[in-house]
Amino acid sequence: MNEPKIKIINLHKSFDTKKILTGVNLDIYQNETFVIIGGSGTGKSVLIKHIVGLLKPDKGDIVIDGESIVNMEKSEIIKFVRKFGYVFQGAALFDSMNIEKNIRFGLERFYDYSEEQMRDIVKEVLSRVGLEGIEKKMPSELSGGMRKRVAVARAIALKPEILIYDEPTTGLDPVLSDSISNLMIKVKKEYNVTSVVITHDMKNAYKTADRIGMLYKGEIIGVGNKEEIMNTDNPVIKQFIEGNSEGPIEF
Amino acid sequence: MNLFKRINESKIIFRIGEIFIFGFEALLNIFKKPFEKKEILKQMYEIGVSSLPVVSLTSLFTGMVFSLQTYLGFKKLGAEVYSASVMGVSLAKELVPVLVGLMVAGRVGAAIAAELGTMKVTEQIDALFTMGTDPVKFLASPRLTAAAIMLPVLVIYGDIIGLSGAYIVDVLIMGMNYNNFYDTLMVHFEVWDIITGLIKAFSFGIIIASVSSYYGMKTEGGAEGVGKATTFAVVTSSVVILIADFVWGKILPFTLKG
Repeated sequence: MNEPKIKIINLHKSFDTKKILTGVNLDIYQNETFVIIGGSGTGKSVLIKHIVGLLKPDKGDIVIDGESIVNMEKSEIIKFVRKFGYVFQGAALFDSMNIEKNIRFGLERFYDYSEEQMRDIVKEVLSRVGLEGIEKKMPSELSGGMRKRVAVARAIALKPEILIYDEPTTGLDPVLSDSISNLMIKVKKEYNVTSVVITHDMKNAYKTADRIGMLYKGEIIGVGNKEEIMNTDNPVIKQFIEGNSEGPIEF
Repeated sequence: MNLFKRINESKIIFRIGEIFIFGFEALLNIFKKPFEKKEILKQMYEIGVSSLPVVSLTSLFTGMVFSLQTYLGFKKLGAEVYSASVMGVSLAKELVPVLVGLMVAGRVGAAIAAELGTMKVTEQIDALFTMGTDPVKFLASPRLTAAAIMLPVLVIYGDIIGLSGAYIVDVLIMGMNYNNFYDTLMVHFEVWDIITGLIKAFSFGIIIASVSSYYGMKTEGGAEGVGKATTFAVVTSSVVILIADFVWGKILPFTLKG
């Protein structure tokens, strides 16, 4: 098998005395969509924030394209993370800028595009996420679903190799959730990206994932493709994907 | 023991250390490319131009009330003509820089902490980082540059308005002869007094921007966290300004005339 694109080795993280991650091991391969499922507050966000260097682990390593990012200096990480696109849970659009400026932000800083080229890119990425003609609107004028789409557009404008989605469907109605799932599949096909998704929306997970892993009590307790996860014998995973309140999961 | 325990629990030493490191990092980043010219100009407008009304009011009334009290106090000694000399030095050296510093700490410090705090809790600061931009360089450094430039400008402006206030009271209301007012004002007044005020203002700008950006960017816990960050930013900036004012007063010579 190929070398993994992202390799997480024995990752530990605590906040004060609270242990969040207690030895996460995970390999994510080129061009796959890997979905990390797990209950609220189990440390899914903490895990992906380590992947982009927003958090430093207490112990363990993260190797991306053969390079360990754990010991990098802040300035090196900031350059390195340009490989990533990150779609935040609340979209995290810059609310002092209109949609066009949000998308142009990275383009202006890192590329030598002409004014016209930049306008074309903004138009193109917005049409890819199904939102033509909203360039001049402010983020506050958009609905939650539209903001998430703009966040995807802003991420793909910079042509990332790895796209990270933090709870992409949380807070959206089922129809909008499905449209975001479809968008994620489309983006993966068209841009050939490796995607890492964290969610507790199983419908979104089944629809988008090549492989699914479950984070529980600070560790990845099971990894498999959609069928393997659906037919698992692991009582914790079974309880989670079926959404039962009774079972071994402590909450 | 109790006091030490409380100091330890409040993490105040830890905070002071962090603010110093943060401020130093923001300062170093000013000189690294890309220079955030657009952001700096925007912040200069926010910090400088938008503060003009509050600086005008503060300086005008401080100048007026201070000259009134010194006039009346000196009058008891029959030396009211000399009141302007004390008043001018005090305004330029102390009152205008400190009051402008405190007013800007309240107005701008709160705005910086609230804006950056909201950006932090809505993950916009994390978004900057993941888009390959150092948030300290993009957010804190331009605010620091703008505040360090604009505070001295505001203080010069405040000096002029404060002295105008003094003129209104001494000459127009109390009936002092204009020539007397001007001559006694100039007896002790020297350019160094203004420079002292400007040195202080420059440092107050750095203090306000670094403290407020620090608290903003460290905000945690939603709307309540933003509120707390704003309060901490204003209180800490104000206290540090008062301490710094005394330190400058002790370090800088009172006069350069022999």
